[in-house]
Amino acid sequence: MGASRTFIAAVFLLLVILLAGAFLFLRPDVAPVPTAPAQTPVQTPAPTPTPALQEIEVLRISQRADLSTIDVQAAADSPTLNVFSHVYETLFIMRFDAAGRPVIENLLVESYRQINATLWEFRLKSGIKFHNGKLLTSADVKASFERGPRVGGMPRILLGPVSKVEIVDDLTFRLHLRSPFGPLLAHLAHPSTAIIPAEVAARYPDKPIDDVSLIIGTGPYRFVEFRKLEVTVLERFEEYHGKKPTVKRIEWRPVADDDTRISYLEAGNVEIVTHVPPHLAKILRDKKFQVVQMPSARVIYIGINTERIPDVRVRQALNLAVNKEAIVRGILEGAGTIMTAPIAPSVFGYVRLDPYPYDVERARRLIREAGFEGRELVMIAPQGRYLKDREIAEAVKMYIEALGLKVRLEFMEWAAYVSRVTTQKDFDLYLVGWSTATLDADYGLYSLFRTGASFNRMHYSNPVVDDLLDRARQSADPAVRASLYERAQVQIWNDAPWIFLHVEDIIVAMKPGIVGVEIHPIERWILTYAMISK
Amino acid sequence: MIQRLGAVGLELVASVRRDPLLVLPLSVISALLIMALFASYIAPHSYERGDLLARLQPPSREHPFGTDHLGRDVLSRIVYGSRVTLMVILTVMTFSIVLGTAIGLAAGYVGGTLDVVLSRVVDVVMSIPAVLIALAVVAVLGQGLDRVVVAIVLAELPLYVRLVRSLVIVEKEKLYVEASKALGAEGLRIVRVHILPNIAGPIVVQATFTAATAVLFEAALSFLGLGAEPPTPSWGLMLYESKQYFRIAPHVAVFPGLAIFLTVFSINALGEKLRDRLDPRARALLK
Repeated sequence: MGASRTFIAAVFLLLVILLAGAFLFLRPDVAPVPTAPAQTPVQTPAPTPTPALQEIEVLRISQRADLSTIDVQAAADSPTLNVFSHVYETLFIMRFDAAGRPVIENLLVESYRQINATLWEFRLKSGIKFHNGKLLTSADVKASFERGPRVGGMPRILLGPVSKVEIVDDLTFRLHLRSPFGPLLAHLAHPSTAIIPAEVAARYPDKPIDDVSLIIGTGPYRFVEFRKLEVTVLERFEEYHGKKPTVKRIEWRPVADDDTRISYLEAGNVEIVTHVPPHLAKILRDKKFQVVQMPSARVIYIGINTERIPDVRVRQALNLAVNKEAIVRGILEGAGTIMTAPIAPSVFGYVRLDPYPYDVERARRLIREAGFEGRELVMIAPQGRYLKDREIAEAVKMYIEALGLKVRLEFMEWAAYVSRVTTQKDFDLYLVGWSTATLDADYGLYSLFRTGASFNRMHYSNPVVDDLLDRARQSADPAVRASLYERAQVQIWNDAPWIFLHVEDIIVAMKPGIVGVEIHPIERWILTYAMISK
Repeated sequence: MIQRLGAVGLELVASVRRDPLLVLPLSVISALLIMALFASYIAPHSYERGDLLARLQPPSREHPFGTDHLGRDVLSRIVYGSRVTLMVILTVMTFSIVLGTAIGLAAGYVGGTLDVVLSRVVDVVMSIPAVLIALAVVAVLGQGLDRVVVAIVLAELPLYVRLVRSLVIVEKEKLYVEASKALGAEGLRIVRVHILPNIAGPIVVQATFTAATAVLFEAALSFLGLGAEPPTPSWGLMLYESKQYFRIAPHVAVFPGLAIFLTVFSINALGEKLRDRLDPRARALLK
């Protein structure tokens, strides 16, 4: 009767599913992806002298996230700052030499001089126009620098050393510093110190801008339209003071899901996708898309709560226990490099140190000596924030447990995670990443390893390191600073307040034929001078 | 007891002979039980240790179902995962049957205000989609397999309350109940000795569907990242973790998916047979 007919139908369905499954296995590309060589240059692909390059009418790009705010000074995340890097400009700009080392060049500034250790004088280029037609003056700089720290955390950090902005004339101004500060120009090249018009700053003295028509900068693109989670449209600013942009219109179309974002590129809905997971990069390469892979300035590490694990032998043992190479080659499929210092190689002040080898025997011995056997550790980790963060956390747990310790691993949603990491101490290990946004060691070391610093959630404290970091930030001499940072990094490396994991790669994929897209190690993509071969 | 079991066995053989298609669900359920009991003997590898450099490998002699995103043997994880599945089925069934029957009996037998209050509460709970209840529980209590069990029990409980209540109301008006009342039996005794055995059939049938629902729910919640925590070899969690690799390594998702499908299908198929055998009335009542 009816029931047994249902039954036959179900068995049939089952067979169909089994068959479908079998067919899936016949696909040729199920083998694991071999390690892809990471490219080192910063600007790829280079605008080679291909026969016919032409301007691009509309360039569409999908990042992982939408604008988090429409106020450049309130923004802290790279997807938002990437959009605004096309709209606003900073006094200086970070460029890269042929070897990929950061070089700071003038952008809005014509010239500058250091009057004494805590006083700098700058002169703006003349005739620079905002999108509303008004000319850029010292008053705009003063208003921007005074408003920034009131509305955003990034300007607060970056402009922290500035105590006063003094206007000398229309184009000349002076910055008074609280104390000598070496990496000042690197901070003035970060998009969070962008210059906004004085009248906008006056209208929103301490709250974020909420009117799209007031997104006014001096950059190569005007802000045209913002539809949340759908599209942000920028159009070429015809009176731009610099070289004329070769892209007329840029559309930023955020797509959070990795697979969906990739399929947007495959279907031709967008020309560029960012944050490509390594396992999908191979598929795109096979389909002849351009895939750019290069090291970022972001290190991924497991912070060790030194209040709960004060014994340096245990912390070193944890470093020895984790097979970093397997994580990089296995989970990241080559989209990363093992950390060789607490900061990434692209950062000023980096010095190459020897990674802790994968040595389970030595790790076990150290654990035994420290009397730490059988202990249970609490580890917390975000998921979906960093490349394969969940899997990396699971792998680290697996390696630590191989020492005979127990690890209780908790995954948390990003906002809750950040709040727990920055306010609680009820965990031993936490996975997090740090991108040195200024590409200067001060930003990458001071706020992470200085005693009591805001992101020193390891509660690490070493007076020797503190002294070195203090002196390095006060010096303006690159050679002196580099040698101080070298000593600080060696000390940190031996104290092991982190399990040093790896430097993430950036993977961006684009339609074939597009050239001239600048990709920086700080996850910044500049599309202004992109072209397409005919 | 042994005689009882023997009788059950004979009956099974007889049903299979009557309906050969029962072979599949019966063997799936037996396989599930055997896997859960002897997981450590059956599984060829560890379910929590893997080689990161040999991850997402296609099926091979060494790894018949391939390896997952951490290089762990998928077959071993499915074998150990049967324990998770069985644990969830058993705890959910126990709690929802015991509690649901108790509440249902109270409402149906005592009647009056108690019945009105309990029935309305059940109505309210049943008007909320089960998934929503489960999500709410997990949101309040946090992630974890035990919380998932609580969530599923909460979603399943009202079904039993309603079923048992309606059965009791019919049953308590019957002559044999009146007879034992006349003989001076107390309420609890009547319920235990007379009513319960007479309504057991439909409850058992309902229980099989609860088992299937429990498997699906656990998988669904784990798939949403709200259930089992890694490295628990929950089938739903395995699906969740392999989802992102579906394009390059579909086997990692296909096998746990098949395991869930076969288990739920088999339990449902058996349940339907049981329903036909044990209680034709239940069909009408449930509809």
